[in-house]
Amino acid sequence: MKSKTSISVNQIFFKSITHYAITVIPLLAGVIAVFINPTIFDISGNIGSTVDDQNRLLIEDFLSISKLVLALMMSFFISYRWVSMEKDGSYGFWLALRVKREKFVLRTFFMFFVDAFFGIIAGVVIVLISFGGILSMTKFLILMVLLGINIALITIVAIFIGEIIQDPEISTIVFLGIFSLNYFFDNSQSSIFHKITKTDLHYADSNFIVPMILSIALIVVISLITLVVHNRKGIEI
Amino acid sequence: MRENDLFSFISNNNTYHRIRLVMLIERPLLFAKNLTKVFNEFPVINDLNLEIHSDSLGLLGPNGSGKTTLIKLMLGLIQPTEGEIVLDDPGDDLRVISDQPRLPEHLTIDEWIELIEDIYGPATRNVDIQSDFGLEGDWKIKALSAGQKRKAALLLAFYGQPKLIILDEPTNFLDIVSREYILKLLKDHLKYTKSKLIIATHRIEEIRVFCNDVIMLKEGELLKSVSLEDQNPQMYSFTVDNPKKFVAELESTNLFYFTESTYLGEIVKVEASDAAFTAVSRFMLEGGSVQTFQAIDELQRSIEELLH
Repeated sequence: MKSKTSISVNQIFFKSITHYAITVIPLLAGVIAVFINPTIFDISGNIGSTVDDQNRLLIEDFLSISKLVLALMMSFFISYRWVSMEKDGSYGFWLALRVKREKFVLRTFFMFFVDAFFGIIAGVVIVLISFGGILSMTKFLILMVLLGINIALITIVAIFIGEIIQDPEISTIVFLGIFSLNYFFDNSQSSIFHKITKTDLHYADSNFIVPMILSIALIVVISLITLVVHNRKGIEI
Repeated sequence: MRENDLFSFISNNNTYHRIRLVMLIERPLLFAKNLTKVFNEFPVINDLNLEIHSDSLGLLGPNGSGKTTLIKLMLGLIQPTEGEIVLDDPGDDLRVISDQPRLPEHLTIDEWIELIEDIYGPATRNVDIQSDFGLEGDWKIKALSAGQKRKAALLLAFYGQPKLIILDEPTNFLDIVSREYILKLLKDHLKYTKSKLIIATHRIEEIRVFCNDVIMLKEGELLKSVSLEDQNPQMYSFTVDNPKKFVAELESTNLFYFTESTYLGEIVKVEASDAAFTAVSRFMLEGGSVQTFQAIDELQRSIEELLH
């Protein structure tokens, strides 16, 4: 017999193209963007600056586009559907069959996280190989950890927005709004906000521990608030 | 803790602990204390107190009486505004079929049954329920009619070993043939699995078939709690071709009776007694005919009170 939690998460969120949408579309968008307009080339078409800078620019280009597309995907596949499932009775149906709320939230988070993480990591590898980027194993591992934390943050924020806003369309817009504001207006690498919300871009910093800890702390806080709100919420059956 | 110590502990402790401990000793199927649920300042359940030790409980009441809200509260899907409610919840052995269940609509009937088997294991008894329900394996759930969807949802109750089944209006949308079949199947199933049952319905005959106890709700309040064990008729109800003549026959007895005008015509209600049948015999010997007869027990009377 399969776990009811896993069946319920699959039936509500992963019944059609969700896995592919979350994994493949951000990856393709990031890779295409880097190939079309690579900023590692200067105006004259030559590759400029140092190898480290080239790698950083490549990865930044890829990550900014792929995460923007990932946020777009998550705004629909998580925030929108989260509100809908609580209202239309599809989640209540499974709760009535004794699926545990906390397990459901954590499993949903985990499944979206894994899909998004592997898609984006695969994209980073594709971009580095295609452009001959060189990244030491240590730096790559740090990038993986920080990227994981950043994707976890995006995922939990998408769930959190779906949890606190009662209208599916508004929750989608709010999540996209928050992500866009962060994407377009915060470019100062030294700011604390940048360190928390764009942790992955600090993989080359000597002191990457601080953004990592700050981000993890934020994820934990948002997760706890989400679970508390979720457990107290009335669900339609 | 020995039994004597336990009872002395209970009697010396405050009410809350006393309730908790009594519930540990003899768990009621459903317990509610000062239960209130308010939606938009409107109390849907209002200060409900009950302790049900039955194996089969019926929730009876008109639309908007709070039956579905009570089910949501007992399942923990919504939180009470005040008070508490405790269901003797068997966890994974609970089956709930709501009045309009949101089944996974993209599945076919075969996939749905496969999914139920993945969760609960094979069908409880060796009965081909799918065929008997008239559901083809390749039909998509989203393409089913309301009655067929209801049958697909009811399949949940017939797999694994349920210990408690909660049904909200189980025979809504079903045609009369399917309804009879499903009620019989459910009765046999409950007998076989020894499962407890909570059923919310408008239909008094379903309550009579399945329940030992009934709670009647009206506007979120407990109107009456009725035990259906050892129910004796309190009144008899007749419709006859000549009510005046029948009433004249009743006049010659000492029986209490009254007449009511309904959409079915004039109904004569008589105190339950052998003498009532004697009066009926005399009436029929003189050429009268009885069109309908019904024995009215406490449940029926309570429903009539509910309607008035």
